Amino acid sequence: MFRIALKMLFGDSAKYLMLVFGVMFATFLMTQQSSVFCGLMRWTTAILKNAPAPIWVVETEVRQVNQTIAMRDTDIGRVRSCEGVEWAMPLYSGVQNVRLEDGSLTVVQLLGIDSTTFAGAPTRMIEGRIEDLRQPNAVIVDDLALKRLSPNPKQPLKMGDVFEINDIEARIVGICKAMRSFTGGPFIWTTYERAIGYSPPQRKMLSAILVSPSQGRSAEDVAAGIEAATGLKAYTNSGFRTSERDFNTATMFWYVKNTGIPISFGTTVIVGFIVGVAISCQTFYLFVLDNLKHYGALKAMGASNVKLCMMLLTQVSVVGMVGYGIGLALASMFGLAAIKNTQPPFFMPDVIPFAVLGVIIFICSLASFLGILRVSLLDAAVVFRG
Amino acid sequence: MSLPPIAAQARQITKSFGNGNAKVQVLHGIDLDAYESEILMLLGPSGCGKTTLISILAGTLTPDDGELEVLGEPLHRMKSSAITRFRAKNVGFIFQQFNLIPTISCEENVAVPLLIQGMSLSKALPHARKSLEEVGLIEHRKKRPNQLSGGQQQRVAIARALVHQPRLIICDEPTAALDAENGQRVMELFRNLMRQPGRCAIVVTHDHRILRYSDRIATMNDGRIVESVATADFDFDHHR
Repeated sequence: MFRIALKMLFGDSAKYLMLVFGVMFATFLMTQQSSVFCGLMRWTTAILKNAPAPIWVVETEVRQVNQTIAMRDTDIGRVRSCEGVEWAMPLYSGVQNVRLEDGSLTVVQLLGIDSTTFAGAPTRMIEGRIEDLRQPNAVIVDDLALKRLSPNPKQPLKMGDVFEINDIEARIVGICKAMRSFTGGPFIWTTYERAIGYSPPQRKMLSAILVSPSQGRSAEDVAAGIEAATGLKAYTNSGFRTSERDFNTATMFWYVKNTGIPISFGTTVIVGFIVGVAISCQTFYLFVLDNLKHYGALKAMGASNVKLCMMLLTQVSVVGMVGYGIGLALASMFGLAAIKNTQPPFFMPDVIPFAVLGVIIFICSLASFLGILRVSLLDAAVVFRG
Repeated sequence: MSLPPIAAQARQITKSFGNGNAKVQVLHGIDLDAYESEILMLLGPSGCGKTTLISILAGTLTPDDGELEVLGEPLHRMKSSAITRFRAKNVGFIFQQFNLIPTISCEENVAVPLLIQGMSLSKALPHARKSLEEVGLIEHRKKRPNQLSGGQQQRVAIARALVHQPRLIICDEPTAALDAENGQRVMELFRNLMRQPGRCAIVVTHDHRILRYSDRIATMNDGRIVESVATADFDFDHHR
């Protein structure tokens, strides 16, 4: 009977395609929007990935990594004196203006790192060496900067090219791969001292202190010790965890709580769900109604309600699987294109396909429920009523 | 001469639809016997209760009152699930509008009663082909129903009704959707296939031209059987 059920489904190609489209659309919208949201949330923590260090010490009131409240340079010494600290290095982080060759301005994320240890330096160099930062006016840029800082995107910048940060000359000595920043601007690395030189003068300039714990000490314990000893805020940088001390988690939750981003994406995901429910339920119900006389005939011929329900579930399951598969493939293709193009943000953790699958199963269950209800209540004698 | 065994026996069957003031009594204490190896035709004007009666005889509708024994089974005392199984095994159906599934082939349509009984499609198809051969449509087995004429579709429906060797065949206006010539052909074929001993067919019809293919004719009016006679004794002129 299952083959008959499938042939009944495929035979009405218009409704079959409509059903698959409904599930596919819902899958694509929910997967793609959730993944873009996750990608965007990852971008909020790009500085943590691009200037990696196990512990970040920041001013007490800092709640997320893109918020900069400067500390005194003497705070570095206080942190170094804490128990369990292997090393502690300064980091300057700030958004600065770059003047392009044609006179226009664009913003960049400037990172100033310690010129001795290069703690916080990029990890994936494409060209050049990190040590070249010690040369005069030297900067390392990410590959996005090559296009963004060129007045002509068809002629990207290259090694040795020169531009101005706040009217001070900068020369490219290295090119690296980096995660995109939340603000969309490219990343530029230079030494801490030179970064301060590029930035407008302020009384305090130290954005963060990058710390590594001693061997055998956990970052959590050392961070707690630093907080207790200095009164500064010490976050760990261990990736997304459900720990309040992790800077990635704190940053993402800050954006979730304090911006409209989750509402915006959440609304689209809900729209995807509603559209999926509306199209799938309505079309499948119409499909059942169209075939009601056949189900009635089958029932008269001795097909039990259980058998008819299994036929309907087979039909819905096939539609669900095909629609989900195509929708997920489309979302993945979108993701691959986004990653290749470096925007829009896209990150699909394992949980998203499984969660969307759960939602699709729910939609299919709802769609089949209406049909099953109709067929179960169908009077077999209906076939004799013309 | 002794009568053949009874295939279906209805005693004081009543059926009504609706409630309160809207209640309509459709059958008023029907008594009816249908014998094995006969074709019994139910005749009567629209609304007289013919369809309700065959629905009850087929086990697709429950009577309000009365006793109903079909092929030795007391349907009026059986549970719905048992009646469903009984129908699957013992009853073949031929509907007015054929009710063939349009998206599957003729042989698959014919195989449906066997599939309902749990037989696999690969095992059911040879039986379906044999049944199609009996109705002379073996060469059309791969076609879909809408590729056949009305008469051919009804022959496929007959093949479907007989594929699982049921002992009771319920036919609802089998020639209503056919022209006169095709109607006669279908009934001739049906009559020939019904020659197998032990089978009983109950046919509801408006079509006086096919009455001659019956063994007995029961006339209904206003929810009652008003006459039940052998076809040879039926007054065709009176009912014309």
